[in-house]
Amino acid sequence: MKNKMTLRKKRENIAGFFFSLPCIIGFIMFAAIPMMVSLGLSFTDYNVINHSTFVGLDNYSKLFNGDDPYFYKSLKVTIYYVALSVPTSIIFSFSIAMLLNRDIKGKGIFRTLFYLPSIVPTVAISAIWLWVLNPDFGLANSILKSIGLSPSRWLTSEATVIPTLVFINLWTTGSTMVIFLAGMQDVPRQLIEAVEIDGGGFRTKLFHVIVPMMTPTIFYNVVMGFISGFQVFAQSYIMTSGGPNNSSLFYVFYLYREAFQFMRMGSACSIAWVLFIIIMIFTAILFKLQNKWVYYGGE
Amino acid sequence: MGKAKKILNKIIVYILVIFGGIACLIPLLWMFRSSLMNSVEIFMTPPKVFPSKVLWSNFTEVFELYPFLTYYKNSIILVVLIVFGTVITSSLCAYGLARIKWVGRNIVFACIMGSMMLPFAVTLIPTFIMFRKIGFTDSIIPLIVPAWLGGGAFYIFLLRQFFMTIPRDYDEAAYIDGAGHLKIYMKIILPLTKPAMAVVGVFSFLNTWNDFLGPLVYLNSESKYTVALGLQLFTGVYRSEWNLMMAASCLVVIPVIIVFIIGQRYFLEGLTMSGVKG
Amino acid sequence: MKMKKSKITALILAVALVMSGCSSSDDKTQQTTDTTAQTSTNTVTEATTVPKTTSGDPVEITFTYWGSGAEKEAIEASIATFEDAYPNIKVKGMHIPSEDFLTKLNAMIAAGETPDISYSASWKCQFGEDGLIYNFFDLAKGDPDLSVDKYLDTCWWNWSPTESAGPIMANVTTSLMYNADMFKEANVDLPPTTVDSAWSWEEFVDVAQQLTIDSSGRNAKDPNFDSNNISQYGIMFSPNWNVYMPFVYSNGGGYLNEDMTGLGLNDPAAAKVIQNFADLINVYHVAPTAIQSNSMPAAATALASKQAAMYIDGSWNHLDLSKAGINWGVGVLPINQNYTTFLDGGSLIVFKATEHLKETMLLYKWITNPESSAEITEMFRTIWLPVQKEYYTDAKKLDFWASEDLPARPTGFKDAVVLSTYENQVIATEIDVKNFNEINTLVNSSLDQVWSGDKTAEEAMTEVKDQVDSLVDGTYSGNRS
Repeated sequence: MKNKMTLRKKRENIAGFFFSLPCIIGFIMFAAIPMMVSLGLSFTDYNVINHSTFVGLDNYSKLFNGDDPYFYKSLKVTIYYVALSVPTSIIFSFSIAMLLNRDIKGKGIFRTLFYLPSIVPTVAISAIWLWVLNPDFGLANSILKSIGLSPSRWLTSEATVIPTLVFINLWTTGSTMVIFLAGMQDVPRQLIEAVEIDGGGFRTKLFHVIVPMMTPTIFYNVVMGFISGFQVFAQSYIMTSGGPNNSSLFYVFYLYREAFQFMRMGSACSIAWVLFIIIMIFTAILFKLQNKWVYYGGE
Repeated sequence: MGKAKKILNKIIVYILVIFGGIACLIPLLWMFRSSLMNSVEIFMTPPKVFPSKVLWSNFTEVFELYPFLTYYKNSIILVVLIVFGTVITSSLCAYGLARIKWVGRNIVFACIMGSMMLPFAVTLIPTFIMFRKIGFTDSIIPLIVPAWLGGGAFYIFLLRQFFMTIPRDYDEAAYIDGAGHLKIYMKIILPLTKPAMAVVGVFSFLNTWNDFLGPLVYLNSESKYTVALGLQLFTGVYRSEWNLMMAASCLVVIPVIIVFIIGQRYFLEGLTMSGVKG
Repeated sequence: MKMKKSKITALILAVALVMSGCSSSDDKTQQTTDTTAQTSTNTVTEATTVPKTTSGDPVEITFTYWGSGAEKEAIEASIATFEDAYPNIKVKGMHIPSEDFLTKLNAMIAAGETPDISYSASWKCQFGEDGLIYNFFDLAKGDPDLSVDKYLDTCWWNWSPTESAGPIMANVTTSLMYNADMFKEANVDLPPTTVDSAWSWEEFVDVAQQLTIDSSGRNAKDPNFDSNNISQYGIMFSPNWNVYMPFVYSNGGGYLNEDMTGLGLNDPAAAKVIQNFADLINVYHVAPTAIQSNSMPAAATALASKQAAMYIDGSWNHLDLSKAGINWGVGVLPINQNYTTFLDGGSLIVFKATEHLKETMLLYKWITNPESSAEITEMFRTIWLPVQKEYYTDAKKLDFWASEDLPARPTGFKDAVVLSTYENQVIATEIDVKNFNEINTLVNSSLDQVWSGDKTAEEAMTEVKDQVDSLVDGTYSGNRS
């Protein structure tokens, strides 16, 4: 008996390794090596077109001692954005998924419709938003004015630019919604029916069956929301160029600018590694906390 | 629950869904309308809903400026090779990480999660140089190989989450019947997680289709450019060919809509499967 | 293994080259005679001064560039005429999205696939300092076609007084554009086109007020004017250095301070000018509040849809204006003292990595010639201003690109754009100030507070001065800018 167990363990170890082998190779080639290279470069003043020279911790100390005018600002801006956008987009897309998971006619069409905004190319949808939200000529303000509300500055004022970007982001949460939808298919019908038979209302169904059963999916979306939120880039790159007055200077935009406009790849690598550590800490905390609320049927 | 209340509920649901659907459709329609206007008319105030003169010539002009048919061909080749690779290898890995208890699994999983946390901007050039050193110049192979080696942490993590919700008893029973892991993966796990697999397929399609940075860096010949890269050629600080850009955007979007309409059927299919579970 | 592979590819390549050389050489020469007969005399003389066969083997040059559809067509057409004239040279043109151009170029350089010749923006000076590109002065030595005094004096991208990345290739300047119908409706005289008759700033503001109209039809001079419901603005401007710097220079100010050790925009002479622009928005309400370039309608849209009557921005807008089907015009900038302006634009750089310098230089001359193809001529008749002096001094050559009979040229173009610029040009700020890209990123974001009315120009520029000063490193020319 004892012998059998260890044999199985051995087999499991081999099987597990071989199932994961492609991604282990992939990880080493496309993640580990480039990551090590960039870590090494973060201690140099490499500018891509020339040889690098070792500068020790200079790149890092420049960030933290305030010599770099953008570092703290962009960190603040990004954390503000993450704090606003993760909860809103999770709640919003979960509600939409609930709505679309109901027994309605033309489900397929509606699912496609709600997904559409996320597939419109970013350059095209950004042009449309910029035009709609233009404070002087845009549609949004003419509507606000016509119903007697005061117009907003939207993307052009320091106070409103991040909330506006969070709002725009809601339009593109289609992929989060799709993942929720897929997750909802795994919620056993019998459980929902059992609640219905017991006379439980919508709330009971939602908070005692659907949400608990979907915690792995919710957890996934929260983690990915954090990771991608910290790396948000396209919006400020295309729509605001980080402005006004750096109030939408997202961290990765700042990093990209450092790497490819100011041609300081070494310093860009150090900026990237600071972000890496921040995201890692956040993610580790989320994983530690998951035991408290995430329920895996297969454990 | 009262019948009247139920009907009222239904009506509210339909109203929400219809209005939401329209709100979601507007950007797309606006893009289409803009693709038929001249570049000045697009941004007129008060806005024009319909073009004063329908300019299908914007589309022909896009085709004259750039070989979009070739771009389509290139994108399709890329997408097919990448989507298959991603779906197959990411699900294999996810199975290894979710359903098999083995010594290295937590470390491997942590590494895979970690690989998502470093911004692309700093790994782009090192990876590129690595492929060049191996000898791939102006080739799509560097774009495809990663898909066949796990396909990206995003998908592995997603599938792992789905695989972990399936009760253990299933594979335990199969194991006692003498099934190996490959059989359990193929016969039990995959059929049960079709919605998730469809999601991965659609996402990897979409990401490949819209990615322009990879093709930009790896490809040198314009004859190898993809649709997304073709669209990117219309952007720029002093560019004002908004009408052409909108037309190109339409060209980019149409295949995606078709694929999504097909893909979402599989999200629905999951519904019938779930009866088996739990 | 690796050896084998490279040998095989080399073999295939050689076979392919020989085959393509054989099959196409006959009809190519045929084409050459055809096209040279058709193109202008200028091309013929250029083509004949250089021997047609520079060396025996066919040679491939890589040329990276960005630009609009029209620009792509122009470059492709010029490459085609070039290849016809030099059948032994193949040009691989790579059209790269402008936003990602430097990313791609960096990757190519890092991988040892540096192109031979490329478009370039202000980063070229760093390339020069890093020894990546040829000093144009060296290339031009002994070549009468590239003699330095053939080009306008202010149009040189130099990274030191003796080292140059070459003259501008695609010149543009700051331009005042307007919708003539809106002037007529408001019964206001059109902007003057000559420097001598230029408006003062006060006159300009007065005109802008008359042209700014609220939703009840009152203009901005009316005491009951409702600044919260404006339906038409008198003026729009892009909030960039290329718009305010001509005014700063004319007013005796500079981007840098007198001894070029720090920022100069905080000095009263410069800050006053920037404040004037901000006052158009916040005091006179004659300009829209959203002026970040991303959210602002371009000149053609704004003038055509009557969002604004006047627009100050780069002359690259002229092409779109000419296509917009409106009654538009150009005037001189409202500067009535010490009129100063500049020309600015990208240039072609030649990489030291090139193995075919001679052929690359032939291409350089070909592409920078405004008459190398009908399509490139069209670019000079719509967007670009030539950089060669003869196109300004020789009346016939001037008419070739600036004649007001050309469809994209409004009346007064020669005075308002060509002469006013030609006679009053200094080196553009972007070209002269070292570290400009980084300095201006700081300045621009700080100016956002001025445009929004939260701070005065002097306050904002004084605040940002410390950070800027650590980046200031003087100018390339050695003179104040």
